[in-house]
Amino acid sequence: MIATAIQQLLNAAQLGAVYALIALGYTMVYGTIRLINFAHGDIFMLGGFVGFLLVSVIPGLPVAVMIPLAMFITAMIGVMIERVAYRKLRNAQRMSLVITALGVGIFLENLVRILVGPQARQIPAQLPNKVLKLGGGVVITEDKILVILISLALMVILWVFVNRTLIGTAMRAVADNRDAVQLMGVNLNLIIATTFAVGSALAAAGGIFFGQAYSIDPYMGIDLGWKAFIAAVIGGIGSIEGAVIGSFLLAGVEVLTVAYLSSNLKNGIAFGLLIILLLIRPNGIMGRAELKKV
Amino acid sequence: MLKIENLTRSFGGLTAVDDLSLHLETGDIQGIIGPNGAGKTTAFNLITGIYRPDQGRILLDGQDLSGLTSDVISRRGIARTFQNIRLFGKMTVWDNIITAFHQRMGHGFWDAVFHLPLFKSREREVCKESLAFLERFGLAERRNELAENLPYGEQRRLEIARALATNPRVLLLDEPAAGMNPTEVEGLIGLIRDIHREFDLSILLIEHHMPVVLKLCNRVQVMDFGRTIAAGDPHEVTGDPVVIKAYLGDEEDGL
Repeated sequence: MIATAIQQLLNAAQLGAVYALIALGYTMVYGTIRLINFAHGDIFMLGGFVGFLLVSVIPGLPVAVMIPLAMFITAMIGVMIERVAYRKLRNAQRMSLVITALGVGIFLENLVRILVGPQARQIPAQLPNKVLKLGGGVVITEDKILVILISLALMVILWVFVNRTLIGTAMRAVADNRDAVQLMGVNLNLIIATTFAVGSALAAAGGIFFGQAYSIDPYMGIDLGWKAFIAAVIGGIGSIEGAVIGSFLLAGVEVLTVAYLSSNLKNGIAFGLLIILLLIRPNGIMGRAELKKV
Repeated sequence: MLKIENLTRSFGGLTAVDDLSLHLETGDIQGIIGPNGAGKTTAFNLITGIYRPDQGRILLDGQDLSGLTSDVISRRGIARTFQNIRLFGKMTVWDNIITAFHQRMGHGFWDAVFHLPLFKSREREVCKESLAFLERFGLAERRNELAENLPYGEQRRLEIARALATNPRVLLLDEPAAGMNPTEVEGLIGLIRDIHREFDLSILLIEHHMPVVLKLCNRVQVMDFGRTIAAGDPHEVTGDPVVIKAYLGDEEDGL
């Protein structure tokens, strides 16, 4: 009984880690340019495919090189998307930007479908995946532990980056007051590009982890992207801590629903949770009420 | 130092700034006064690159700034404060100052991405300098508080400290005495005098409090409906009938 529960919590931690890696990009981009970047789920998908292609093109590429390289390439793609599709619209109506983001998402899905085909693929196992018996009947594979640990490490690095470096300070300042920050000599374009780079890199890591555990296909970003978006909203969009908390919470609810109720109820309960939580805390768990200045 | 030539900017049918010319000499403290809506803040927004001028030039040491973005203008050496304080409210006092140091650290992409000053001696330098700034402005003990939680007077001081942390040669102050009581105003006058000397600044200030203008400024320019209606010695200008009329209206208006 307890063994099953622990087993399920480990599963939830793995899924939560992937959600968190995506949710962070949503929340960071929202924080700096107030855009719900609906293409972000597809950047997660792209990250998975970049990893897949790297492994296919360079057989024997060590995973410790593959993941950072895929993160870097995906980061550059994210920066390019911002530059080409979003920058010109930064001061346009919010709606134009959101529609553009949806369009970019559809473009990416179809681009990948044309280039590599619609079928699902698995990224060949790169992480060690011996089965470990933890006693009491709890079983976990090494790659699961690694995914959880690497994800947590990335989140810690992100936290340090945002809170302890100058460029991170500037990112928070952009989120706080975009007009004033430029008068501090901060190059707004650079900060926003960095935000996209970091968010895309994290999503790429998520895509690779997901592609090793399950499979990747051009449309995987839709479902996972929505879930991660919900996680970010539950946590309080704009808040980095909130995105992480919301992700693990959502994954926990989903996994436990599947384990103890029914897999059919998974999405219903996840979205129900979103609605109830937003009724109680409209700004999410970590969100602060935004006072409109009159 | 700062030379403004024939600056004009319209919004729709309204000419907010109409043919404004102004010359701020090195070491000047110059005042801009005028009724509400005269275009004073718009002039500041033009100088700091928030708006682009329709016509005219803004020269800093002979170099044209018109059309440059705010961050570039800031790096060229012009800093400002706002009429309604614009701090990074949800960030600490410390982070507010640190953000203003940003520009000293290089601003290329790779520079910024790999600039993790955390691991560098430069970060220590920044910390030391930032602390010195906060101490200078009596805010060191407040450094871990959120800027929005400071009392009003301290928010004003922090905004001035943050502007100075960008290392400007020209400082634009937009109604620094707004909302202050007479004691606070006295303190502010002292503070502006001190920073003017300590930081080798040329200052341009918009102000409605005449005592502030009379005590600080060596020259004043009066705007009304976007136009300059008078300029010169503060005591003479504020006695000028045209200026009094702009402020108080015509006698026929029933005043």
